[in-house]
Order: sequence, then structure tokens, then C-alpha cells
Amino acid sequence: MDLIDSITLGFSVAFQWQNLFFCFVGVLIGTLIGVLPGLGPVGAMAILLPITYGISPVTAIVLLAGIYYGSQYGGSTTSILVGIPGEASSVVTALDGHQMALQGRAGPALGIAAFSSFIAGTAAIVGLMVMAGPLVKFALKFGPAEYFSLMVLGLIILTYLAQKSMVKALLMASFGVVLGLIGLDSITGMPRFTADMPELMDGIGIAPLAMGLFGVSEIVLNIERQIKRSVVVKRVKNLLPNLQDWKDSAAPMARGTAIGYLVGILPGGGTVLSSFLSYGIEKRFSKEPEKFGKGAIAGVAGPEASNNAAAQAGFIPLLSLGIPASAVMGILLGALMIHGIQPGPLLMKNEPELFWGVIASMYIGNIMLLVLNLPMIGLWVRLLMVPYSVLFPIILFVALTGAFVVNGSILDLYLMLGFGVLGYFMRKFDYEPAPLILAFVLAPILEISLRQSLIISGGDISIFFVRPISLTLLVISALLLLSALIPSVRSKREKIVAQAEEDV
Amino acid sequence: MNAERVVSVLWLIVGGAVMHTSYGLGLGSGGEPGSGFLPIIAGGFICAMAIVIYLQTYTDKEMAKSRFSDHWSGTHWSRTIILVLLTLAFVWLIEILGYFVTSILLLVVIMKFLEKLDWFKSIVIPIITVTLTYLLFTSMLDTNMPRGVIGLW
Repeated sequence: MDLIDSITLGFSVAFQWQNLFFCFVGVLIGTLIGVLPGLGPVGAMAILLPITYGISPVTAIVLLAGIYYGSQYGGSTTSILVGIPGEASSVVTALDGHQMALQGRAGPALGIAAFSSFIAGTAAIVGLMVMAGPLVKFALKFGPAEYFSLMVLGLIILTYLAQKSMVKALLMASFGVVLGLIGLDSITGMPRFTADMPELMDGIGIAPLAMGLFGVSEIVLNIERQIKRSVVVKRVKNLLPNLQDWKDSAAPMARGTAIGYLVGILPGGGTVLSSFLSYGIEKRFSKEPEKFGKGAIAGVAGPEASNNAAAQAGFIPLLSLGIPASAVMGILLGALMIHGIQPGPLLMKNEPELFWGVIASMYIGNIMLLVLNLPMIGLWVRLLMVPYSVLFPIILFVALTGAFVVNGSILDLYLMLGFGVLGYFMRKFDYEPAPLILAFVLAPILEISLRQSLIISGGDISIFFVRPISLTLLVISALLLLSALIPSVRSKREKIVAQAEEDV
Repeated sequence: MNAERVVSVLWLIVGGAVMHTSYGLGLGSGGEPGSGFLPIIAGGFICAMAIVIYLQTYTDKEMAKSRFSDHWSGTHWSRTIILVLLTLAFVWLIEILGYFVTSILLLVVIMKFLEKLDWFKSIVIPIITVTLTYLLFTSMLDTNMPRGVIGLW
């Protein structure tokens, strides 16, 4: 099937009424949670995961994907109007975007944020289509040994790019592997770490785990801080940027898209890092760096383009290799598996409707988002005025309901609460939950490929080193790990993180 | 007491417990890895990283001065405890009073007593939210929610 046929198939799937409807619901919820500080896309997707059980897999992924990229749009609205980022990835947008708002230019700031997001998002989808095919062909050569090494590399890159301590990130990933292996061993049938509880034979569900670590822990942390926010700008006029704004934004937008696309493919790179990188680069490239932080439109256009390109590019490793690059993609992987779909290079061949349908829905979703975010901006401004004291009990209640309905199990509620408390302490002590959730999702696949490789080789671990692709992946992993130990590299890694935080 | 150090010791215990249990599951042989094979490696990693963190609390300036009180200073931590206990009570009560009643109770208590909203908002918002969610799950998605011992809702 050539590319044109595939795209035609994709759009015919995406234009089915239920997919259109759920795409709209997804981007609407995404914008909503993006606008509201205190609940990120991972938490929201986890909470809504159970609702997708009753719909077809294509529709489920269309919905969940829409929540994710929708949240990237919505996050910027709060950053610009309130000065508090709605999402981690729009932290940098708050710097210049909010300054623009204070200078009475909230309209162009919101406008350029939405247009940058749209242009970059769309460009990244084209990149996704072009890149996925060759990557799939390459991945079809993979045996279990290559898969194992690829997953190891993925986890190492993820921890390497961790925002805080790499050691803590590695610890989290290891703990995630253990949690992911709870339940019956698929090969020997032996129960593992189940504490003799029959409910745990099937393992811990991704819904209570992700909801606890990302949803409940966020709520608990927020009420401790008692978020107070005031909407500085209540009326927004002139959303269309003028010619000068476009001139100032064009190059940052293009660079932001490229950075976002490249960083988005990397495990753990994601939207946050790409937006920081873009901001840093724009500041350095600018002829007037002193204007940054005081309302430079380039400081909005670059990072907004970057985080959206990264959000779309993150789908590449998931859809072509079956390897999630971030916690969000981990949840999507979990959703695919719940629907009985095995992600991996064969996905494109075996499930072309899902593969191309989801991609096509992203085009449509991006157009919906432009409409949702520009003409309907007044609605979001009004929503921002709803106090957190009303919102968080409702979010908590929806999470509790969601966790229960998956299996109708009270144990899942206790688990969610338990992981919520664990997540709360983890965040207090800078243990990031993303490596944990990703390792949790990957653990069963990691174990199967490890065992299969060893069975094939008769217990000879050289199988991982004699196959060239596997060897290359492991060498890169080892180099990354070792480089983190070299003091100069370590201080540089820490400097990048510190620089990113300083810029904020 | 150094907070980071205490946390690292807790992780060391977790890692040790994982390794111990994994050993009991059987490691198998090279050609036929057993159920405990990958878990014991993961447990070993947890222990190793916990030891590195423990040592860092002596070498890293930031970590050396980590105190429990610093992590909670200036926060309303009692609200956290109350919310967790309320949620725990919700989970415990749901099978006795049923989903509908327990949910409304939880929201009313949080909104009225934790968030100090007025009575009108604290009653109307929960009733609307819970009723809509209940109808969505029972009528549209055909889910059985716990009805409690009274069995009404």
C-alpha cells in the first residue's frame, strides 16, 4: 500500500462519525485539563482510560491521543493569561506570553501560540508519516535480543534526560520493572509478589497505578500549597497577530518545530525539555536577547511550536516500534494492550486502519483545536475563574469512579490511593514518576524478550553482543551510563537542567 | 536526621525484600531463566541505586542538608492528611452505604469542611456531579456500581 492509499484509508477512518466525535471530545478534554493547572495529561488520560474500554480500539486511541496534544494547546492559555503554567511544557510560555498579556497584547500572544502549535503539530504529523514507514521496515529485522537492547536503551535515555537525579530515575525504573512483573508469570504460571491475593494474579492495572502516581498525588500536593490564581486578563481582543508579529515568529517557529520533532522522538525527551531548549536557543540566536522575559513574541512562538511538534513526534517510537517514549505513550501502549492489540512494527501492517486512522485524526484534531482555542477563548477564560476548591474534589471523585469501574474492584481503589500517597512522597524527594510508569509498562515485554533471547541462545548472553543492532544499542546505553559518571559531563547535564530552571 | 538518607535506607529495604522474594521464586538456569530472574536483577538495581543515594548524602552539598521539616515547611500538610483519610473512609464506606450516597458525602465534606465553601455550593455541586456520573456509568456504560447494604442506589 503506498503512502497516498494509506492516507486515504486513514482519513476514511478518521471521518467516521464516532471517531470524529471522540476526537472532538479528546481535544476538548485536553484543552480543558491544559487550561486548568493541577492535573496533567497523564493523570487525565489515566482517569479516562476505563471509559475507553467500551469503544473500539481506533476510537479509544483517537480519544486518548486527542487529550494529549490538546493539553499542549490549552496549557499555553493559562500560561499567558494567568502567568502560571497550565502544563509543565508551557512553563516557558509564561515568561514572555504573560508579559505580553500584561502589556495589553494577550490576543496576539494567544494567537501566535495557537498558530505555532497548529503549524508545528501539522508539520510533525507529516514527519511522522514519512519516518514511520522506513523505521518499521528496519524494526522488522528485530529479534527478541534487539528488542531487549532497544528497551534497555530507551530506559537509559529516559533516565539520562531525567530532570532531577539520574540515580533516582534509575531506581524508579527498576522499581517500575518490579511492579510490572507482579502477577502470574506468563511462562511458568507461577504467581509473583501477589501476597496470596487472588485479585493480584493478573497484576496491577495501569489505571490505578497511573491515576495514583499522576492524578491523586498531584491533587494532594496542590491542596497542600493552596493554589491561588488570579486571571489578570479578563477580556481578550485582536487574536490575529500582525505582520510584524509573524515576521518575528516565523524563524523561531521553524526552529522550534525542528527541535521539538527531534527531541520528541527520544525517550524521555518530550515536550518539557524541547520547549526549554527552544527558548534557550531563541534567546541565544536573537539580536535582542534583552527583550526575552519582557514580552518577546519569539519566546512564545518557538517553545509553543516545539512542545507541539514533540507531542506529535512522540508517537513515532510507539506506533513504529511499540516502544513508548514517555509516560503518556506508556498509557497509550497500555490502552492498546487492553484492547488486545500488540504494538510493534507489525502494527502498521496488521492494523492499518488503526495506524493511519489515528494519524489522520491528528490532522483533524489540530484543526479542531485551532477553532476551540481561538474563537472560544472567552469560555476558557471563564473556566479559569472556577476556584480550585470546587475543581479538585470533582477531579478526585472522577478518579475514584474511574479506578473502580475498570474491574469493579475495591482493591483497585486502595491501590490507587496507596500509589497516590507514594507519588506524593516521591515528588517531595524528587523521585520522578515517569521512569517508573514507563518501566512498568515495558516490564512484561522486556522480560519476554530477555527470556526468549536466552532460550534461543541456550543461555549464552553473548547473543546480545554478537548481533550488530543489539550490540550498537547496548554500546550506546553503556556510553550514556558511563558518561553520566564522568564529572565534566555530569556537571554539564546538571547545568542544562539548572539552566532550564534558571530561565524560568 | 537526614531525610534523603532515611529514604535511601527505605529503598534499600524494598530492594532487599524484592531480591529475597525473587530468589525464592527460582532463578532458573541460563538457558531457561526462571520466574525470579528479572525481578532479582531489578531488585539488585534498586539496592545499588539506594546505596549510591545514601553515599551521595555525604558528598552532595544539597542532599547533605536535607531535613524532613524543610520539605513540609510553609505547607498546609494537615489538609493532605485529612484528604487522604477522607478518601480512605470513602473506599471503606462504599460497600456499606453504596456508591451514590458515599460519593455525595465525600464531596460535601470536602467542600464544606475542608474548603469552607457555603452550604448551597457544598450541596448542589456534589448532587449534580454525582448524579450525572452515576447516570453515565449505570445507564450509558452499563456498569454496576456498589449499592451498599441498604441496596437503594
